[in-house]
Amino acid sequence: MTASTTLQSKILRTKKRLSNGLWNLPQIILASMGLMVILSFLLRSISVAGTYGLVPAQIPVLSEPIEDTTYYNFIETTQRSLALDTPVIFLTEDSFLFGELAAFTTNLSSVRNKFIVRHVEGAPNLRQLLTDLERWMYTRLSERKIRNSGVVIFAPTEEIPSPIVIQVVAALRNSTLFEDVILAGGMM
Amino acid sequence: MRSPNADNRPWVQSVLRLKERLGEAAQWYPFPAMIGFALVMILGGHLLTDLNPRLGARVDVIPFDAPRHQDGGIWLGVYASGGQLNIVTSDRRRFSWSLSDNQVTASQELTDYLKQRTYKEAYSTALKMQTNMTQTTAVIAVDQTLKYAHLQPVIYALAQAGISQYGFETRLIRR
Repeated sequence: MTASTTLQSKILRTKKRLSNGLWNLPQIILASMGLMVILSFLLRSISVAGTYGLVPAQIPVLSEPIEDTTYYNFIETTQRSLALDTPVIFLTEDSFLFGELAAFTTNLSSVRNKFIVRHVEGAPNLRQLLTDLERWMYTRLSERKIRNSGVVIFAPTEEIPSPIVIQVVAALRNSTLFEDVILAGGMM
Repeated sequence: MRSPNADNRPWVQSVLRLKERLGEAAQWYPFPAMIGFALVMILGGHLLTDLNPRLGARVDVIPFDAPRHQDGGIWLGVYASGGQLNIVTSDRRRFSWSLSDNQVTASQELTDYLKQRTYKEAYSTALKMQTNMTQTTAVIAVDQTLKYAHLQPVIYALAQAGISQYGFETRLIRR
């Protein structure tokens, strides 16, 4: 059998296969699937919003200013710093715990320097937390002359869902008490 | 047996037309195909991905009113799929590790990538002699189903890369 005969045989077989009306079904299924892929991509493109919000958080950095010997002589100064009296808020599955950084580190055994705000029906009681924080900070200022630095360290436990973490960070920032919220994950 | 209407079938007609067209030399033929190819390349490979990095990332962020932010910084989409924690970046890099690992530190690849991005931004800032907070802020788009434990390695990687400004993306609620 020559090459030409083989080719003609193949063409004939292809013609016979293509003349069968049933071949339209797989074509339709394939085309529909392709169309659905394209449509899902288009729908996703359309449904994605153009603008988004941002709840900012900070990671503390070690202050180590580099001397600038050039003409402009830039100087980078420390805006805020963490100290033992920096407020710390823990978020557990059933309550908020807050106090100074020292209360959870160097003075951990004391029971008079930590405060608790329990959740209400499983939901964090943010309003009560902010009210208690404001009172506590006012007391610190009047009794011990500790001024609010505007920084708070927020440490949720691992099981807390991320939407709650984000909403608590936003609530702390939106309050008049704090300008910078440091998530404890950035302090390791 | 050949059907009497066999030649009237649409596909036979289109094949016959194609056969007739290909039988003659036509210089213009490749160009419509090239136009289509170029459109696919431009829209699929460049414009769409640059316009919105969220395409291709299965991240469902929380609906929450927060100050708007401009796209353009380091964007990280974090979501879980198939027992893996996946991280997609704005330039389509992907990092993943198992959800069951419960690891606190991030993978070295992610840290190296973030360091590289930080270096690029710092280099660009130095050349322009001006800085842009949008460019140097990392934006984390977290899927609602994730827990804080899943975020810890990402925040750790940001800290390792020297990124101090970051934020969580939210979907604005239209009123």
